[in-house]
Amino acid sequence: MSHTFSGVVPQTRGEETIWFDQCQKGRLSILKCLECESYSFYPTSVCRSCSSRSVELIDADGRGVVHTFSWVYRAPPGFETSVPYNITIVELIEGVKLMSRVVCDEETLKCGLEVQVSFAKITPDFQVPVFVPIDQP
Amino acid sequence: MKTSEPILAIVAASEAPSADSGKFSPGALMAEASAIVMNSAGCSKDDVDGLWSASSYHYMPTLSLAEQLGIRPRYSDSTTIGGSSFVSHLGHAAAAINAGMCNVGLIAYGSTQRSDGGRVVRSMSESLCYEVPYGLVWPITGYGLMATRHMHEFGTKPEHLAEVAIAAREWAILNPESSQTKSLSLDDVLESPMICSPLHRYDCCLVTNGGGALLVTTPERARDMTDNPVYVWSVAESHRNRFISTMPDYTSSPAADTGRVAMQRADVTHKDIDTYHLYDAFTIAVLVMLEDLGLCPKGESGSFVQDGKLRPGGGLPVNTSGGGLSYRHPGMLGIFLIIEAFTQLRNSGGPRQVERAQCALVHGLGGVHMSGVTAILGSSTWRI
Repeated sequence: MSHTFSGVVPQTRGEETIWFDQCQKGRLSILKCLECESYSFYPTSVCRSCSSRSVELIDADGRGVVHTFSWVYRAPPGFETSVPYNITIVELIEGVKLMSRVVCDEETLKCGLEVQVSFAKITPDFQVPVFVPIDQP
Repeated sequence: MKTSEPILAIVAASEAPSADSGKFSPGALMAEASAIVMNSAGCSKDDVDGLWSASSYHYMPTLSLAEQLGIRPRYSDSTTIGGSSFVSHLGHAAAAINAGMCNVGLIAYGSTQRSDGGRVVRSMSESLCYEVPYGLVWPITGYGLMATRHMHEFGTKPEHLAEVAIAAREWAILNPESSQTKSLSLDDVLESPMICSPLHRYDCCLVTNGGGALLVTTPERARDMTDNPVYVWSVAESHRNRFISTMPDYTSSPAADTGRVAMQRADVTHKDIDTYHLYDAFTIAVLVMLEDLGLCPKGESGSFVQDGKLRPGGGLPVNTSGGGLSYRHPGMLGIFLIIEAFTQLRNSGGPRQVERAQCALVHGLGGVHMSGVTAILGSSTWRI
């Protein structure tokens, strides 16, 4: 299933560009420390837990839960046509959190909802991670 | 470390009277307020040798402030950690002045956010790249995320948030400078448009212009300049994150650390504190601060405020000017919290004066509870 919404393509540099390049390949990356094995988001040049420079981007499992969310009714310029839309903090099963959007309606979105990463095109040639609810058996 | 003496004195504090007129730029507004405090303290611009400012308008805020006033400082500090910056400047000024780096300092701010159409002005091109694609409304969505989580974990209700706004309005009605003159009902708040769920319009601060300045020096020198200085007994600051998604948790704030440290350093408990000046950009921000400052247990702020204790006469005077929610919020609020604490401790609050106000707690936040700074202030006679 493909998703789209109008969004802002961010200005990026260095590791930021690399992270978004991974997104274009359909991969959600997080930072892993090779010394203390802790995960973190967003990526940078050192481990936030032990300051080691031995860090690498790895593919996240892609599953997580909704930690918190807010439905935006009064949108900033460029987003007016899509209200209401949600801004959601997802906690990945690796224990790190990131900001994203869950593709679902207002009744479905709850703290604790189990979700799975997907990708949405915000322009014809730029996609960002979004999440979809994991169907309960 | 406990302090047996105040670490700094505020000789004069003032807002910029022309803020709402639209005739002055942010730089000219901070200059206007600065001239008032220098005059009131009987000092000339050549006596001022330390400058502090923060601004989203100015790339180099103290350079702009100095140029507006024709001052060549020996000490200059544009520390920017969000709206709390000005509370942090009190601590930085104490450190610099007590180290002999300068003698008399000016802390100033100006903003024309309302004239600018309410947008948050940015002087730099910083892009929060992992968050901007999704269309968050800075910083309102961040506080919406906090409120949703607080409701989920603790059962906090929209009515609890609304009470913070209702109480702020009752204080604003007592403030002759406030443009807000009508009480807010619970229905007014809950039926106002949703901005970022669960925050309604009245859960969000006003968007205004504003300017303010503080003249600070050593307690000794202050007593030569005024009979009625306000003393700073302690300042504690910290910060936790810059992005929103990197918040360590969504129901607490740096106030838990800075409040404890500032109160320890000043050797006060809540029994000693007469007025609270808490950065009320959003109703949820105040609830979280009440918990983190130790006024009620974590998660219980909703039922804590429900009896109306934040309202005038309710027993816990918070934001006696009407605060950012109902009096003034020009982009950054920090300096206005200090100005209102100064007003109360000088017993010049008029209809909103809290009787025998001797000791005040100021807590400034920056961003979405990203930075936090707590200061304990005392009147000229408290402990002296």
